[in-house]
Amino acid sequence: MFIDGRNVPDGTIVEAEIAIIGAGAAGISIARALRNTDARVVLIESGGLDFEPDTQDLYSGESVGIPYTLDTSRLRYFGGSTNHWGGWCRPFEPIDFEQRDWVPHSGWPISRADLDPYYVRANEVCQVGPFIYNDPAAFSEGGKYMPLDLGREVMTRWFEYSPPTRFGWTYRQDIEKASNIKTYLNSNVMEIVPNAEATKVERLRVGTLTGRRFEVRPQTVILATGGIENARMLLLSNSVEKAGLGNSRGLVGRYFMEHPHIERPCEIMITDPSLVAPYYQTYTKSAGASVRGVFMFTAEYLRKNRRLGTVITFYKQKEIRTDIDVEEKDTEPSRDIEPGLAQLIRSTSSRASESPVLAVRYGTGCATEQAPNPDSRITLSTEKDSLGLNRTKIDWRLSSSDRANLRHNIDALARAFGAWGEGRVRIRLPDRDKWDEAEGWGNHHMGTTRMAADPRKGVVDANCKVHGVENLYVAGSSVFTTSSTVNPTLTIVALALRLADHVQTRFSRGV
Amino acid sequence: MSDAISRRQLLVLTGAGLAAAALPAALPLLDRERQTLADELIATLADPARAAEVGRQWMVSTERSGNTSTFAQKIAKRLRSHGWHPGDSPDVMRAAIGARVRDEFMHDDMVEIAGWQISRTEAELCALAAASLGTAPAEAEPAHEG
Repeated sequence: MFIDGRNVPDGTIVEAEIAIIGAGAAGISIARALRNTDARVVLIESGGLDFEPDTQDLYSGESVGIPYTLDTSRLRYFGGSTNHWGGWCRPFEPIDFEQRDWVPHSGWPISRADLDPYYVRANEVCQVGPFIYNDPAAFSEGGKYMPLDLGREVMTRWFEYSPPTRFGWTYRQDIEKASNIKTYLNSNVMEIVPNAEATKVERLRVGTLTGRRFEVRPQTVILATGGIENARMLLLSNSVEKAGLGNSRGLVGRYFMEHPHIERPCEIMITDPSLVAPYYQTYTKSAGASVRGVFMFTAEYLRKNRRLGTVITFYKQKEIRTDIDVEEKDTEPSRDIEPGLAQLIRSTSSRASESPVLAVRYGTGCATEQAPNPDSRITLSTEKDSLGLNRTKIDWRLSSSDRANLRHNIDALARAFGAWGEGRVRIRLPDRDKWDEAEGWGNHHMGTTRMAADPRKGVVDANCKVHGVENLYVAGSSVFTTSSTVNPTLTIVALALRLADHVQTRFSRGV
Repeated sequence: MSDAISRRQLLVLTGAGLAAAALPAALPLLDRERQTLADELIATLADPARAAEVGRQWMVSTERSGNTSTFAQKIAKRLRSHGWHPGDSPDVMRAAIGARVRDEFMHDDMVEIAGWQISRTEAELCALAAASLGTAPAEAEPAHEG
């Protein structure tokens, strides 16, 4: 059942076993998993079924670090940011969950194996198709398009594409028809109010932009408002715990991470384009999935060289020919040596074939992992939104070591292509000491309510329960301890399904 | 120590003198060998003129100089560790260069030209082509003292 919060009488009290705050990828996944159970579920969504500028404005805020747009990088209506999601899916690597002694603050309290069954289910929720991330063309059975053999440092891995699933549209009927779920639209949780000891949530204060005020009184609360808003919501819940709910150690909002994107950090020249399988360059159908091949770095390389990961995509840019077309000639003066370099590769290559095209130049894109940094954080601005709540203040920071890490990884890519024999890499990443401006990002907001077994090191435990608050859980990328290099949605959904199982088990035991 | 020259020292000096006397006759032969080596190396290049331009740009950007003899000898020394010997066929030389180049990439022995990462031996092959075609930067004149 869908209920417009603007029609709920002032002072109404809604009772429920489970309240889910936020109807994005995580909230809808959990609600679907709990549908038609004995638990009365209330799903509370700030927006309606479509985009509304006044509601979206609640996302506006202040950026004081690397420039970051808070309002356009997420969407505040039913379906959340899946309404503009690109659909890239890939599970995190096992090493991403490990404590890496060269990455301060790394180490999840769960492993990749803990998430494996949920990744398979998340694949279904995201309508991705078969779970074939590491063998999409059945290379193990002699598949047609083999990946490039780039040695021990660089590996080809595949993303699978969601259509992309617009969770609000695709799962609206599941939610609306579920007998045990009431969805309150246009309803903003203004505070999660705990008991006097701040050890248990008692009620949720809810308000609408039209001025209505009502309460939800749940036994269990799941906060699922996104990687930035989850932290803001806890910080705003400060009527009892002045620093914010679950924030007695000052960790809420810290460790904000993104995936810095650099456009064309390098170019790749390959002599024979027939060596490059189609899946490297565009979405390619394979065994019922839509896949895209990318370059990633092996766990062996990351451990040995003490690096964080990077994902590199590439696409065809230009043929390198002896007869350079004057009109098409690049403006960069350094381009004039490219035919010579192509011929140089061919001189020592045993595999290159005769062709009027000497080589093909490929452009690249990349997303890279940043190290968790407690000073990269979300706090509350002094500016208020139209509900009278403090807006978000974001201070996104990257370090010189994040940039150096990316540079070293591109060096490794250059080594790999050279050692392979048929390719060379041109590094375009400008050398500079600091990384103090945004060259792009993925709209991936992570880390602000990080997961750690030790309450001194994280906001939530391995079950995503807020340390010290017995009935409050957090879903979404804010619980990521480290960010990996791949897009977060599949992992958000996998963690949400795992949390749904946990909450349901707890409920069935009468906890 | 006696000022007298021993019979053994005399024999050594005489030998050195004889060798020195023979040098003018030997030098053209060595030059020819070096030139042959340089020619063989350049012959492995699919497009020596374009390689020479790559080599020229590398030499200019790194303020490097050299002549065909020095580059050819540097490269040849490395190729010996990859199974090549003087007099081997061009195919053997080409294979040795390929193996050497891949080995250098694996061991991070790369140089940069306009951002492109190529192996040291590739860069020196290009420099050799530039020196051979006369497009390499001129070698600095030895400094005159006094």
